[in-house]
Amino acid sequence: MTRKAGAIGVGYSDPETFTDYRLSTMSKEEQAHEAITAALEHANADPDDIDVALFCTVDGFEGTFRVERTLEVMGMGDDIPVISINTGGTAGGSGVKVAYEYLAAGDYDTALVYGSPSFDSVVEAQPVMNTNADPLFERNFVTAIQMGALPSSGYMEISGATEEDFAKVAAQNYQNAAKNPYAHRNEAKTVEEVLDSPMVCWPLRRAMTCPVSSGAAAMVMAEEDTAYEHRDNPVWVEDIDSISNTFETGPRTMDWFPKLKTLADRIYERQDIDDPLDAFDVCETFNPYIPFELIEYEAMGFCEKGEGKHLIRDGVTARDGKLPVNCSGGTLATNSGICASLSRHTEVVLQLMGEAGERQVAGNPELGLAQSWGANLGQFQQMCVFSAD
Amino acid sequence: MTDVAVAGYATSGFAGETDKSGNELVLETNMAALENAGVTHEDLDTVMFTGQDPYDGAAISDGQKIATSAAYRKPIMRIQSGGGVAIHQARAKIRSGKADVVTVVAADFVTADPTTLSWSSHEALYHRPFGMNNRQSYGFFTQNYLDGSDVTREDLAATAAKNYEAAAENPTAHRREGYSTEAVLDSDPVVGPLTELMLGPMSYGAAVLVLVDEDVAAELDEVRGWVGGTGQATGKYKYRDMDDRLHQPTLRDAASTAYDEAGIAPDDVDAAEMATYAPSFELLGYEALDFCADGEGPSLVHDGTTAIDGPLPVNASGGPLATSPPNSGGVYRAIAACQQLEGELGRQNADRVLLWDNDMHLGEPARTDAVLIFEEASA
Repeated sequence: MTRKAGAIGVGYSDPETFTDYRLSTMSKEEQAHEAITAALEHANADPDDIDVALFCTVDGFEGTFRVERTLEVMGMGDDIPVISINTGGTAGGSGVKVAYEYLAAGDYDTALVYGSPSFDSVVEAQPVMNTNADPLFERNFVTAIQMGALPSSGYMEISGATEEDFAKVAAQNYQNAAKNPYAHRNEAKTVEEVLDSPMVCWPLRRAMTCPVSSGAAAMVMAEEDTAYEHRDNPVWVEDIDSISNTFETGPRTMDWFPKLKTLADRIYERQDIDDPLDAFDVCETFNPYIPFELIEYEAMGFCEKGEGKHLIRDGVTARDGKLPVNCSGGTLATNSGICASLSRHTEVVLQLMGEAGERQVAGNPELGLAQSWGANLGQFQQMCVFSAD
Repeated sequence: MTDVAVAGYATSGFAGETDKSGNELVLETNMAALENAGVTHEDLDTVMFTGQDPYDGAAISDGQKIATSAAYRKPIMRIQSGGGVAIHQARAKIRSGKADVVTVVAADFVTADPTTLSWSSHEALYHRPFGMNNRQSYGFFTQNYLDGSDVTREDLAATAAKNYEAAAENPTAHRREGYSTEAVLDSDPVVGPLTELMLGPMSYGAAVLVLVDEDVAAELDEVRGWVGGTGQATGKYKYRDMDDRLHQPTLRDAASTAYDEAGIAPDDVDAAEMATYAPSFELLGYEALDFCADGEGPSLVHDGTTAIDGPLPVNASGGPLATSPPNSGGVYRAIAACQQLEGELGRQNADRVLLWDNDMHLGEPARTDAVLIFEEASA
């Protein structure tokens, strides 16, 4: 018999820290202290209440090997275990997964998950990221922007989605980001402004690709009895899972996210979800390159393959639509490294608690979905289903 | 809550170099471990990878091992805090109902200087400029230990020699020359009181452990052992409070939790494998684990208690002084513990073996200690 577990508090570093990583004026320790303190306050918890801390990052981006070892704030309590988790872009979701497993298994009652502002340490992250690709055949040709562009151009061919569709998705995210104090790009860009931005790598224009941001996020999680000691409305983890693709990208078709579909199908079968568009009330996806959001709609079953463009054209995923997606502005507006993958989860939790401020969706959302994407050309996919109490 | 068994394991053996790629090492060792466990890659639910990016020379290095660790279309998790912590978390995967069969996969294959890499794990403004690294931290720790006690360099050397004596009988070990106390003292000085043979080598190789829930275990002909209790704790990064560091509160905390969870006392432990990167850690480890009273550590070496033929063998594998692969050391030590349950390592058949693993290959401050009790019988 396993235990029920979920989130009891989330927190971010100061809104001013969610900015260009080169303009960050806060040290890693300060950002960690702010985010963790905010999450503890939100959870009505003290540092001594935490039994285990999960630190989520990618070492190379930090400039320090195992940087959590030198962040005293991570072990604020009495020598609690501080565990380093690194699964690339899905690391924030992996931290939530490890925390959930520890709480459900009965090892610990309360866990802290911390998403590091990974990108604000190295002068140039691209060479570090390139070490993640195959050293002989792929490393010399593929950079982050190609990771975004290859699936995006392939997707255009199979779906008939246009540059205008991508610009609409981007503008929808920017309109949402304008309501989010923790968004980096928070000007409400229009479709025209997105289309007027410079071409970076076909079909991606600059405003269709994420910035490199600083800023940190934290989440406090607890098992059921402990959760109710802290708040009346915890947000429960109903399911959380991940899946791996090949390291070499040659076998991949570059026209979709088939492993994400497999993962979604597994989760929906376990959760008895026939129509995810109907079942979920709010969703955060990993959209650093904006066409990904359409691909993710389809892979996660919100519509048929190739039909994602209609969801955006018809406003289905707008903040006032049937299934609001990325009300935070998504990773497109704010990409603070591993914080960005944890933020997909913290944002859904805030929505289900009804505490998302100006970006709160209408009604009383009851079921939410968070997704993250990572490693070599999206080698890892991760999803988490949250429910309101 | 289900009990968790070690269904099988494999190692490639360890040496000072390898002519195999990381994927060759992982593939061969992983296939051998699954076969040893009596399961197939199709039975496998999830993979726990324990490599660390800087040792692997690549960011998100777990991604490179998806095919060879049989993680394709499956979840992979990567814990960077050592094999002991990875096993601790893998057990939680099973006990939370998320998996029935989990492998813990580790490999060391990229030529690396662990001392330089450990330097990059130290605080950047004040400690890196004067060269603080793992070996510096062991030397500082050990010198303070000697200064505050009657322990001598000869005690340290005798402890190291005891490890080398055991390693000489272990075909998997890296250093198998059986160095004597004199040889340890005569080897090159490195830092403070420590000589080259009081410190571990950089070892290369791979290790894979297969964990299963009790239902899967019941369907198998046999299992290698059971995980009876676990505990873990992390210390803060601080250099000044040496009295506290020598007391090893995180090891005491982790051990206390593991003993309680296993429902045993320290006297019930028949043997131990310890991640002791200098002999001082082993002597103080005896005390923190309650194998003896505080201050009595060296007596367990001198009276032969912790020798390979003693009543409480410690590091029958030879320990990290003989074999020190930073990614796979913890998983290998867990395998060595299970081999002692089966009478395949050391000179006795143990009923209960304690594993103390940690991530002190990066240095002593901010250490994470994990203690696991491996038992022959299910609780």
